[in-house]
Amino acid sequence: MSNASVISPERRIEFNAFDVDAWNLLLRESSARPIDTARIFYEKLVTQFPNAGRYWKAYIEHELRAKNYDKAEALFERCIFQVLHIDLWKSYLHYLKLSKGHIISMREKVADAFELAIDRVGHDIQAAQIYQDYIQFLTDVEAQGQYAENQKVSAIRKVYLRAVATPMLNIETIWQAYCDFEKVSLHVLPSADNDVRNDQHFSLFLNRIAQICSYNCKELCILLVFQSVNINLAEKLVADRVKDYQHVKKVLKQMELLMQGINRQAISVPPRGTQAEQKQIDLWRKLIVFEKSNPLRSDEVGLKAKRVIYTYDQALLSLGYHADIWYESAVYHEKIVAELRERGDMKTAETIERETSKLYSRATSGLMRNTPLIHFAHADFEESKGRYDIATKIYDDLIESNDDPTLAYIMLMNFIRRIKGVRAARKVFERARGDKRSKFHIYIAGAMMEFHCIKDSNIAQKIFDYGLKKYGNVPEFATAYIDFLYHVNDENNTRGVIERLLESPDISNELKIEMWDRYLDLETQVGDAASLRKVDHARRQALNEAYDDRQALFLVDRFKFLNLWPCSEDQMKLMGYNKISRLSSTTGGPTTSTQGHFMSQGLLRTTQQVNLEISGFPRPDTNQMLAFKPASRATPSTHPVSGGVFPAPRSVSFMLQRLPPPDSFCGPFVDHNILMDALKNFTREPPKANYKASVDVNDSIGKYKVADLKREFQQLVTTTTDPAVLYASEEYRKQRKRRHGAAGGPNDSDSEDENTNGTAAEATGDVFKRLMNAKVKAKEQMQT
Amino acid sequence: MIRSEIKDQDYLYKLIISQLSYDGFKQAAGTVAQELGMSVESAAASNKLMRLVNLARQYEDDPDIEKGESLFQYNGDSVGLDLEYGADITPTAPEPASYELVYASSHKAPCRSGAFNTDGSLAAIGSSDCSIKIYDIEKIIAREVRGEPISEAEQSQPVIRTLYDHVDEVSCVTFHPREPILISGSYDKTIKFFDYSKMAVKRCMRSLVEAEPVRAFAIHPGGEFLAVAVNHPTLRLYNIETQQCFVSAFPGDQHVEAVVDVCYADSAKLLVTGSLDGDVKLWDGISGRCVQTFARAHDNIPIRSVKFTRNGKYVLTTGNDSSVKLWELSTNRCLVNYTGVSGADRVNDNCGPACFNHNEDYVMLPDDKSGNLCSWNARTGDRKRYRALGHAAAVRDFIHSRTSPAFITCSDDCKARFWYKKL
Repeated sequence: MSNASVISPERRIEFNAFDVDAWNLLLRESSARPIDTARIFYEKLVTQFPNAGRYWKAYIEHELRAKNYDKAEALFERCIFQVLHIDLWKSYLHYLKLSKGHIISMREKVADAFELAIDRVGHDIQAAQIYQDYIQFLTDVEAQGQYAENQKVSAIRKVYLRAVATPMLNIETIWQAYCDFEKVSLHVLPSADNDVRNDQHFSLFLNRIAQICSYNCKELCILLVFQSVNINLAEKLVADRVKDYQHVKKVLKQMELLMQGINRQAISVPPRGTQAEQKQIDLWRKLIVFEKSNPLRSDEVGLKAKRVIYTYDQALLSLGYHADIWYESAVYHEKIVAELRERGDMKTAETIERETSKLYSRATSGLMRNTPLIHFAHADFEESKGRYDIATKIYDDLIESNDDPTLAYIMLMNFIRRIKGVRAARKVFERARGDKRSKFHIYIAGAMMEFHCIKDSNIAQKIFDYGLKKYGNVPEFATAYIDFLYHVNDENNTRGVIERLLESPDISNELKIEMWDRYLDLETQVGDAASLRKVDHARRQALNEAYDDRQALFLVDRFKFLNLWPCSEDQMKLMGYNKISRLSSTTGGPTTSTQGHFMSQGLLRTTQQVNLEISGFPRPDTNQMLAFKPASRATPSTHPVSGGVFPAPRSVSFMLQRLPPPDSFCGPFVDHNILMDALKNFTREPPKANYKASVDVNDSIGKYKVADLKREFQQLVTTTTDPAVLYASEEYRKQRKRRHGAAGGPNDSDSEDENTNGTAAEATGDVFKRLMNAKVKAKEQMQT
Repeated sequence: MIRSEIKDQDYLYKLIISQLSYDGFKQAAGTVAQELGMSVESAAASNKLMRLVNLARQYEDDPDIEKGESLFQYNGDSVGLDLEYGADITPTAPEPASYELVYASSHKAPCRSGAFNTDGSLAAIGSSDCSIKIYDIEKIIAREVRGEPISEAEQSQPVIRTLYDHVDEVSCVTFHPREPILISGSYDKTIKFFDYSKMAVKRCMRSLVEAEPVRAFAIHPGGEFLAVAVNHPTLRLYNIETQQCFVSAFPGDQHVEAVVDVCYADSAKLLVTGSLDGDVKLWDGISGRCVQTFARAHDNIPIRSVKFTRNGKYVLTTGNDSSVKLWELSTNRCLVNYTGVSGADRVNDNCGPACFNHNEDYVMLPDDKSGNLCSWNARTGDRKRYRALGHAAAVRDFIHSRTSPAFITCSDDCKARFWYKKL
């Protein structure tokens, strides 16, 4: 129907690979196709959105529908541990139960899977289904003999207890089922049931019975008494848990409130800075803070940590492109590890530590692939744990995969220096120098390392010299070099380098100014009067062009220090000194100027990304439609569609919008009879404007002097009010209102406008009518 | 017979009835249902039986297929109305009758229009007193959760902005899909844009001048265009940035009488309009041409409202006689007829529009005769319990949030009431 003119989803994806709507459209189409043809699409889909549980689920279900169980299982294995998506897990368990549940030998495996699921996603608010299924599964097991029966009951009880201690939807049903279960289960003699046997009251009770009865009939006695007792006992067991259960329910209420508005089905896309997105982040953060406050009041740090970590994982499923959340999660992991160590729980601490490592790898191999920050965080973490080879590998991978590995090289160099010393770090520097992709920063980093660690300024200077040959025209490099020379108190060399740079023919204008500034600073601080004067003079000469002959600006430059200025900011702005904004943002200090430059570059990049709004919707094609201007029904029109007329062309309507309103016109009036006559008798060639020829001010056109004309025109322009200002003014509004009000009563209009003593037409400001009225009146006067 | 077998049989009959009503044999479906002692409403029109039969035939041809394969179709939570794939999903959303009144606001004159923003955190109410008020829904709900009484206390006032710039009744309001802009249309023949991110906003930042009183509009999901229905048969499309206006290139596309409601599909590919002449028209979102007309959709009764489902496959229409219908666009026919309103068969200009709840499980309609809220299961047309709305006059506009179980009723008794399903 409308598809012909719509951009196809494939095109939309080409245009924007994160256009989730387009992917969904394609997914719908593919789900109707046979799996063999759709598989390529699905692979693309899960590569593009590797943490989207929804897409994995769709893919796997399609495979299942086509009965490719091996493939489906392989897919489950690929995603199930990476993507802790509750629906995905549910469908995994569903599949296992249906395909393997009835095979006796596989029962163990299915039970393991259930245990795993409860371990992984059992803290989810929607996990009730999993617990119920598990209990159902365990209940369906046919136990042979007393021992097995007791085993079964205690296994089921264990699951129930875990379920009712977890805040999730539908917990009431599980609680009810649990109560019923306790009542029924105690019909079975709980001799092997640890939970009950260990119960103090119960053992006391048994002893009492034993005392009362003779030893011979003890067993019989217990059996008889038990029938009446077990109901009470069940009630007692349940009553013990009721308080906890009430608390869990309360927590559930709070959680529901917090989760309101969170879109858990959202697919991770790179941040766009929209409000809705910000909102989601805020909501998730609130939920995480809530979980961190340990709402379940659990004494076990491990349990609390698990819930928080699970919440982080859930947040990352839909906010996978937010590096800050990845990092916060990792920091929380580390905090918990420390806490656990303090309490002596080494086993859990180690598990969580391993989890941290996995979390980082998941981030860096997945959505954070292109964010070096997380890579560095990962390397830092591994380094702190002493696993140097892993850290080295992370750096190497980052260098391999990046377009601009300079930063990674520098970080690697620092890292190697920390663990193996400067000698090894030099090798990294050599490697970086050989890499064609790395930039000049590597030379600065290398030289600085030599200078600060070996304390040998000669090697550093050599490196700088070498770099200067290659990057002589990069202002940041040159300034870094000069700063270095200046700091090692090598004035002569500094002067030499500056002069060499200034003399080089292909120096950029920006760098030239920068260099002169440096030169001046240097001479002000260390030079003698003669050389200072010399440089100041030379600088004025050289930069006259850039400074537009404003000598005061040179003076400001000479008497400033860092961000202290010899006159107030406003004064400098008035002088036209524009360096102030640039420098004050970097808060002085020559060494920060390079950083400042990158910071501003980084900022620029992020703001650009924020402004990037992707609409992705088909736009109406107005070329296929008719332009239209609504008009009242009374207006006669040639427009084929009723209710409007053709609008003026765009440029004209643009101009009309900017013209002042008609009633602001008050002359000069043209006598159109004379004008028409003049035009009729006009026989000469029409004049042509020659824009290129300049008019001399002293010339005259006809009897008017050009200078006079110019002046008068300027006066006219400056004295006419800007229509925009006029419209906005309160006076104008009032005037208009008055006029509209007066339109009905012509008698009032005299007082309002003294120049025209007339009728309603005048009041509305129609120039033409005003003119006609004046004429009629003139005629009437003539006649009288 | 074993109980499960009876259940299976019931299911089979239900499928048969569904299939019959899907294929258009409403009469036959009714007869069969009567014979079996079932209600037609309980079976949504669907061709599931046909698909099952096809599957079974495949199975017969190729007997190697394992048993129970259809079991693997895992039904998740419903995310919208789609009778093709999810005809027998049971509603998971709270029933409309269980919503409770959480706040009532008064205006100086009848309330005529309301709108929620995209994430359901704000709502705007336009009134005959020429003003528009913006409410913070979260404040209302948070207050309710804290359990404070509904009072008009100064500090917890949920009205965050009041906008006065129209000189006549505000007939329609909507939020810009991305930016903090509220758009309003009025009988004073203007459409105004308010930047409500500014605290002190009173006047609009931009306006479009129309030649006729504005009745309704719909904003393009990308936020660049506005389809406008005025007191005139011609549907206009405005480019908001340039203020240019366009109409369909073919004059015959237009309605015969004034357009009363217009709605954009979420994909921006289609538009739907309803008119006083009783027709419902579908328009191509790109060329602006009319691509389909449901002539006399409600038997010559003027249309009150039109609404797309989220997937853009169905349209929900309301007539001025409080009749509500669901149209399937792939087959161009009326699929479900929601019946049983007490105010039916009585043409009434003050009738309110029907609306889906947030996950399209239910259809709701304020019935002005009884003052109740009628609701149906959207898939089967099964009528649900009433909810008394308690307004003293007709409900003129009725909107449901797209994200949470909350709705607003705007009434001629100068009140707007906020309803919400408490947890």
